[in-house]
Amino acid sequence: MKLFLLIFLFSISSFARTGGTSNAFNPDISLNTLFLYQNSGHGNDSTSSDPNGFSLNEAELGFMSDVDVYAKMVGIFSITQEKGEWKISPEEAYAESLSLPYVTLKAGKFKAALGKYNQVHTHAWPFIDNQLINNELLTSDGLNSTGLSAAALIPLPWFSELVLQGLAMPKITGTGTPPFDNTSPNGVVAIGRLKNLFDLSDSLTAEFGISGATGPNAVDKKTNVGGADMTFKWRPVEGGKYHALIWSTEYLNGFQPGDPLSTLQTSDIRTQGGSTFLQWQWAERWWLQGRTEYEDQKTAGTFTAVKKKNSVLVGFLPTEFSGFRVQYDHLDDSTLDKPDNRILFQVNLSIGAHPAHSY
Amino acid sequence: MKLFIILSAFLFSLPALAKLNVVTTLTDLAAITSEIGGSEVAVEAIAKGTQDPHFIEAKPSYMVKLHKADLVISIGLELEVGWLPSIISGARNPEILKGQKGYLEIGPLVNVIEVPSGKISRAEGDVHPDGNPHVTLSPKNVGLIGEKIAQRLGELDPAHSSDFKGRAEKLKSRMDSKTKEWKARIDKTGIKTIITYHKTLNYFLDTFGIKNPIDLEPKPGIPPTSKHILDVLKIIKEKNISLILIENYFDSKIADRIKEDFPKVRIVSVGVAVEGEPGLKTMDDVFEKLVSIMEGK
Repeated sequence: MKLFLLIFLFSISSFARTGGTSNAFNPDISLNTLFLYQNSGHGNDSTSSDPNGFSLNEAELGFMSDVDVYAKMVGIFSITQEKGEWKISPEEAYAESLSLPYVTLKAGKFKAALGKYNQVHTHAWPFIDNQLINNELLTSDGLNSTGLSAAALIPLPWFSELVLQGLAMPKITGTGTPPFDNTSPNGVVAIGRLKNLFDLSDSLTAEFGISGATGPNAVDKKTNVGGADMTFKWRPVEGGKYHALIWSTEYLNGFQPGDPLSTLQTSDIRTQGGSTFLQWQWAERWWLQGRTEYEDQKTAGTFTAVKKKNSVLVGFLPTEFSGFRVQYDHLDDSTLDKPDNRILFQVNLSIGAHPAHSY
Repeated sequence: MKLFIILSAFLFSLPALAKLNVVTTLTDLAAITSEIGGSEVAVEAIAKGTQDPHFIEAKPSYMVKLHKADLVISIGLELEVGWLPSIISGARNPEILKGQKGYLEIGPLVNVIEVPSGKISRAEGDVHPDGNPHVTLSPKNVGLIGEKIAQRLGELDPAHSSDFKGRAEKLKSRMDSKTKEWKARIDKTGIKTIITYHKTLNYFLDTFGIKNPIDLEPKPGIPPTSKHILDVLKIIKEKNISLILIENYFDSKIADRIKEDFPKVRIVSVGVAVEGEPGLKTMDDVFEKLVSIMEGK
């Protein structure tokens, strides 16, 4: 693995240095790194998947360029440590159409358009950690696979976008209860998302999204996942460099039928939950945020897990390319002996091409 | 039959009646396009004049505007790099992609100042590798921008090409003659050196031979620090500076600290774009306002 990583990194630097006019055709290259310190009661447990201490949470290498007049290509490679071993994996690698009116076609490996935050990369999450329900229902890696996507702009006076995707599911490796699986060789997960965004004024927008997915699970039965999200963003036209307020809420619900004859999952599992949070920018480089979350899971109609979590975050973002965030979590988890308190500190640094921010 | 002929004539005349739909990134570009395009063009800007053009959010509603656009006019020079690519990509309009007739980047076509030489680094702040992108704040550039826009509008609507060209010539000649008038008025004030918050006004200052020895920002994009303000105070004393202009999308609280040491220095928060404050409807208004402030009005 180390040898592969070295060859990969050397090859990047050599083609980035290519001289003359050919430089113009080099892809935009960026590197983002997330350093993390965490301390929690649960993290002292030797079996914890999130042990206390410092870590390089993730390094993400990104490449983007137009392929030709018809398509652009994006490659995002994630370098993470798992059980002491470093691994590099394509988080996303896809080609996207450039020249089609109304619709954007995408082919390759990408994050599924299921819910609002499944599509967001780790360094752009609103909080340091992922939402409880996303972790549980869509796994810690998020719903991400190889397939096709069509995103159509519906011709309405406001922004209305319909995304339809078909993803072949690989064996999911992230923690949580994988909603979909590759048991069926031809198993495809069908995903749909409708997003509408309204400008309520020059300073205020309201976004409403609904999404759903259906596909085979580990026992080759149909899992159905549905969700809804709502986000209000306020950034004044005057003084907008210094103040903003965001309120976002998301709910997800998944039903994974079991098979009494299977050894993998005998009972039906219903998982639901959501989060709501506020982000307040009170000065040019400072943010204060609060989030509350709920998630429960029923197996064969009986509650097997109930989680409630509250988080507070203070963020200092000196520039677009660096950020320092401290987060405190209080978690009530029915599967743990006692409530858990956790402190997280994250350093988020980026170099390379200037990112084009999404809204 | 008669009805058919009337209907056919009406339908065939529709494209000729249709206005070119132009979306610009900045209000300055919208004002210039509106003057050049006249009644043949409908123009809308994305950023408001009161917003810092480096940091506009890529609202999906802008994608809807660009989806219907025949032409998108931007500054380029990495001014809109953080937001325009997302909007263009989300617009799903192949006519406005880079390289198409429907996309015009103005910055590289005019006189650009402060182009860094050698290797640059973000340790120098938010440096633009292709030069200072606030190109519209030079009256000379405004004339040039008018010409470039007229040329592109003419390619998209050849029937009105000569109208666009004529209006561009008028704009250029008006800018040339007003520049002489503004220069005479500024010279009369005796002001040779001022301070600004960011490098926004450097084109204006360059045109009229005014020096800006230090910005209130220690480096582009970095808010003022106490240490840097001490350097600013030193320069104010050394150069006997009497005027500080703060672009009005920046916080002007820093003025209080400077006033403590130099109560007589005039510190003015000013709109630096069309619609940047009430009454700024054209580029002439923007320049007129700046000149008036220098005159102490």
